[in-house]
Amino acid sequence: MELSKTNALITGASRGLGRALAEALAERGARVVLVAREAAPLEAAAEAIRAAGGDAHALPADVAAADAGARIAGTAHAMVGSLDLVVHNASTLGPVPLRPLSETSDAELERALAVNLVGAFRITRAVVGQMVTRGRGTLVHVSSDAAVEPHPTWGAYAVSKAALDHLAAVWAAELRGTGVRSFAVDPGEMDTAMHAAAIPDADPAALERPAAVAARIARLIEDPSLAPSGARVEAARVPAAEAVAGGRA
Amino acid sequence: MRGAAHLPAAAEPRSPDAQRLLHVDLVERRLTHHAFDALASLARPGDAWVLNDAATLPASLAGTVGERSVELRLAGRRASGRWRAILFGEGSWRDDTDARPPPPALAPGDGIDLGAGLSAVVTAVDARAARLLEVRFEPAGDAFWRALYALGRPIQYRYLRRALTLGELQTAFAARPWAVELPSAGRPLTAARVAALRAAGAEVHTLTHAAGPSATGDATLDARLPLPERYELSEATARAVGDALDAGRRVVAVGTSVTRALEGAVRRHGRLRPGVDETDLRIGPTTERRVVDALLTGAHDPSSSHHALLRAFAPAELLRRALGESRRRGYLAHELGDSWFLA
Repeated sequence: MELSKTNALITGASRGLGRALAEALAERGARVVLVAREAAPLEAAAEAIRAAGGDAHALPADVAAADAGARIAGTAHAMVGSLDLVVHNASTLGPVPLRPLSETSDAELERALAVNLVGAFRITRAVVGQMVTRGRGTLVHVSSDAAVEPHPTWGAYAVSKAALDHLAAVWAAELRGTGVRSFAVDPGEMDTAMHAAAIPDADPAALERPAAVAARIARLIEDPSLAPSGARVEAARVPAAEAVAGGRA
Repeated sequence: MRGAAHLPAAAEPRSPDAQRLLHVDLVERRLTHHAFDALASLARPGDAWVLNDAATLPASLAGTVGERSVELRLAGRRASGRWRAILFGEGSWRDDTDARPPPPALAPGDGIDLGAGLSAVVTAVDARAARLLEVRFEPAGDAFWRALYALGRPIQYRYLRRALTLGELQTAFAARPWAVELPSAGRPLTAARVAALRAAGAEVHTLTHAAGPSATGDATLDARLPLPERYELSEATARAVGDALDAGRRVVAVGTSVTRALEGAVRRHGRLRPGVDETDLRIGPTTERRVVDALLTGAHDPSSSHHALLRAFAPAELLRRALGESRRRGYLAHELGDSWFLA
């Protein structure tokens, strides 16, 4: 997918990996719509992209809200035209500090599923039809190694990300032959506010910069051979030379 | 004709699985009943099907003019970025629009406060219908779209039991929000059904047509419906439909809005010129179709303006039989009911 001719929507875009992805895609010429709950940091993120010469639009919304699919799709389509790319990046850890499942409430698990899983589902549902009729589209699901490895205390988050991986795979199966690609990507451990909330004593120097990871994910979006539909890709395994070429870290 | 074959409206949107399809055969003058999933079996290889991909706007805004409560309904965006809009007096979607109090008389420069920092400023008032306004919104740009989607509600249908959500009033392939009411003929076309049409050898293309309001609360203004509507024809769709015409393949419009856009375009420009334009074409019994051969549409009551458009496809006698058959078989009418395929 040639990013210079792409209208992209990124959720969870006010900080961390989401913001870095919005910046990376805008740098490569995509028109980007940034979605997050809080309007002020979101507008600041969009303004920073515009100041750097990019085309960015802020769309404050909670992806867990019942009618968020039609509202986000409608607003984004009004702002930039038909969406070609959606990056499902918004996510919540569940209870913080992290707790074992035995101490996680129903409401905490439900909230994690509502944001991390159902939020991605409802936005895809609202935009995928126009992708299919045009024969062009990419759906990126930002996963986690917690989706694969069952670490104690990561329950709500891990369950939601495992389901998100499978959501990406089922979309891929259903969209076979339509020109629309769906894949999941594990970004690896990054120096973000979310990581600090989950593991407060981690050494930030040992973690990846979000911008470096965003550059690799941009490669996956540009080059379907690196992330075919239905695949689950670890960003750390994306060819380094390609990642460095696009990275700014 | 009314009363002779009056179709009941859906109280709940007909679910895709339960949707029915009456094939009105325009050549054999024959009627056959189908489950909607049989649509692909009525498609022909080489058909060029055209869908309206306009998403439905949250087009109803509650506001105040001085002390008075009003409802401002978007009717369509103009090339200038200003909007046609219709002002209603106080009331809710449960009330018959014709029975609501008349709106306050406004003049250019007057403002309508829509809350949360959004306002509409009147830029023109229609000479014949005082409630038909042209307005500009403050703020404009992205801030307007955010405010519209935060404050606006979709226009509702009085015949339904409950108000529908914005999501329920979208087609499966909705893209840019240009329509103020659901382009309803495409509602039964789920992604799987679009895929089935393609698997049957039909081409499926899209255009965007800003379907306008179906009711204005003013009989003289209702008589002018549809108002001029904006549409965009992409280069790909213009070429594909043009190729189908040249090759004598069938062009199938999904909905009256698609029919209006294609027939309007060819009348204004002599051909299907790609780009954005407005059409004021009114299609009726005497309209000679130059592009569209077949039409998928909702089953519509003879009292509706949609019905007049059907006369461009089928003689009154055939439509009368179709209505009678639909009534006997329990078809549901209007935007959220069953379908007719005139082909």
